[in-house]
Amino acid sequence: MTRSRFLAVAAALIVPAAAMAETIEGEVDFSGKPPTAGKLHREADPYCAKKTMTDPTVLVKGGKLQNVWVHVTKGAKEAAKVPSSVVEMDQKDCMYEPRMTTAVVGQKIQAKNGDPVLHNVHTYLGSTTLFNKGMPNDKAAPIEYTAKDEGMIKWKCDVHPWMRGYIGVSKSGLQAVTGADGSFKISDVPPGKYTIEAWHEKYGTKSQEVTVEAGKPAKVTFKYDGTEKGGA
Amino acid sequence: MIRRLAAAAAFFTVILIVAGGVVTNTDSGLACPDWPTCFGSALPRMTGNVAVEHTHRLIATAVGSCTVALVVLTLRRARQGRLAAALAGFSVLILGAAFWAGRVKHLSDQLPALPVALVLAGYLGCAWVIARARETDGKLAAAALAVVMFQGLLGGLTVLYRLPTLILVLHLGTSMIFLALALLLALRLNDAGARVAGPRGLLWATAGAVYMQILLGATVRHTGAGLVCVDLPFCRGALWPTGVHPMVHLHMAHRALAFLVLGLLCWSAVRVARVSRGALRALAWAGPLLAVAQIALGVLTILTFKDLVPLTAHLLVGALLLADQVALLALTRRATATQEAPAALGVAA
Repeated sequence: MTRSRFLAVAAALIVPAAAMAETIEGEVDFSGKPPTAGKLHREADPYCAKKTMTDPTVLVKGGKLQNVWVHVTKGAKEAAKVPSSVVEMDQKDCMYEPRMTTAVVGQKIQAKNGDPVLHNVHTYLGSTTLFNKGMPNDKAAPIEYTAKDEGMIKWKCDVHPWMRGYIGVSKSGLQAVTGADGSFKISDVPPGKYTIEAWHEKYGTKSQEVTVEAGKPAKVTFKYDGTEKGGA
Repeated sequence: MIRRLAAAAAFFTVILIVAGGVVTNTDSGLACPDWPTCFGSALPRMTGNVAVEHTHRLIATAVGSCTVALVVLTLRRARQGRLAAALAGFSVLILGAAFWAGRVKHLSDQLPALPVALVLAGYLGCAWVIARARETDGKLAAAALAVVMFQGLLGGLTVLYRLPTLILVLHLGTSMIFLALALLLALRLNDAGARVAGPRGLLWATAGAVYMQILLGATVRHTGAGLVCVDLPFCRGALWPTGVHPMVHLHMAHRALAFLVLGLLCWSAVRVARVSRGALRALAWAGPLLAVAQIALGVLTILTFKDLVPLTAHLLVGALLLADQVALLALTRRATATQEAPAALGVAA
């Protein structure tokens, strides 16, 4: 077989498989009255006190809810390949940045300190502490951790109790976090039936079934009204 | 039987306090969004934070059941069975109304007035029972039941109002009062004549200081002031910095009171040891030893950035310190004028 023929056969096999991978798109609606974002009391630390910030727990814009972890919980296979990229969680202006992101089991996570003050990075998976290490200032070496189990890793700084961060970890990698417009998009989803779950740090989880068909993106909308309880 | 039951209640209360510490220190306080049920169930799926929070509730239920039995036994011993029945009725009223209020609050976010009024009425009934109880043990047991129910209600409020600081501090403070009552019941039943004349005023002052320190520690814990100073033994480069946020002063007050409490405990230990021997003397010396361990745990709590083990052990030793002082109070009696002189001279009474 000549080289060009081999490539043509390989392309014929691979391209349909790639074309079969669809997306799950959607948004998270918030119909209730969002709580007023109160001022964070950061006065105890003179460095943090320099900037006034409000509580970013509930971010709603135009009836859409930001920072919701949307992930496939049933029906998906484990990710064929763990992403080689490193998931970064920075501490900047005494806040975690980003507030919420995602990782795949086996993927490297790195904590950085961009502030000239001490933060301790205290991470939990459920009620279990994953690690609790101090980072004296912005010269501290990053802390590296490899995600071992799926679930929501909660990040806390005990020195600055208002600091919260979240990394949603899944085995499949079929996950996303809603943006400021409340939308999300999960790519590379093979056709099939899935259970998809939304998780918000204050309002907890909602789940629904979704069927992904070849050739068209599946649409999903989650609805919160502000009366839900749960979360972190 | 009553003494053993009271001792069991005290023991389980210490376990309960530690479990409560684990709830706080693992951020499990809101794992169950409703109260008294957890996700609408009395036995939810026990995993992760839910297991931590619900185990705390189940231990609390065991302590409550122990206390009910204690009340029934003490009042029946005093031939006041009807009073025990009345107390049972008031307890059912309090808990029933509280559960109703909790359900409504969870579903509608409104605290209904009627069940709150019924809870208050139930507590008036409890006060009536305490006043009518003939024996001190009956009064103590009835008071313990009222306190343990109040403790449960505060636990409910912490969930329903999403961990307000004041309620959290009161929740711990009430648990310590219950521990003291259970211990008094367990130890007071000793023959009064066997008690040793001791420095009661000093013991009361020391127990009060330990209790205040526990409340202060709870305030530090629940306001997030535990790590506002991490440069031990100083705080931001000074022994007590000025021009800083009130949370820093709160933290420093907790540190300073620790040394005052240690001083009082040493003084009490010396005074009690002079007039006692055996278990009582051991209890007296346990105070300063526990206080030193407690200070070390406080330091370790900061150095480990509030790691679960030292932080929870800090709470446990705090409870044991209070228990120790309550035990000393229960096992001593006021010295008469003739006994005070030799005691002051260091002669055993």
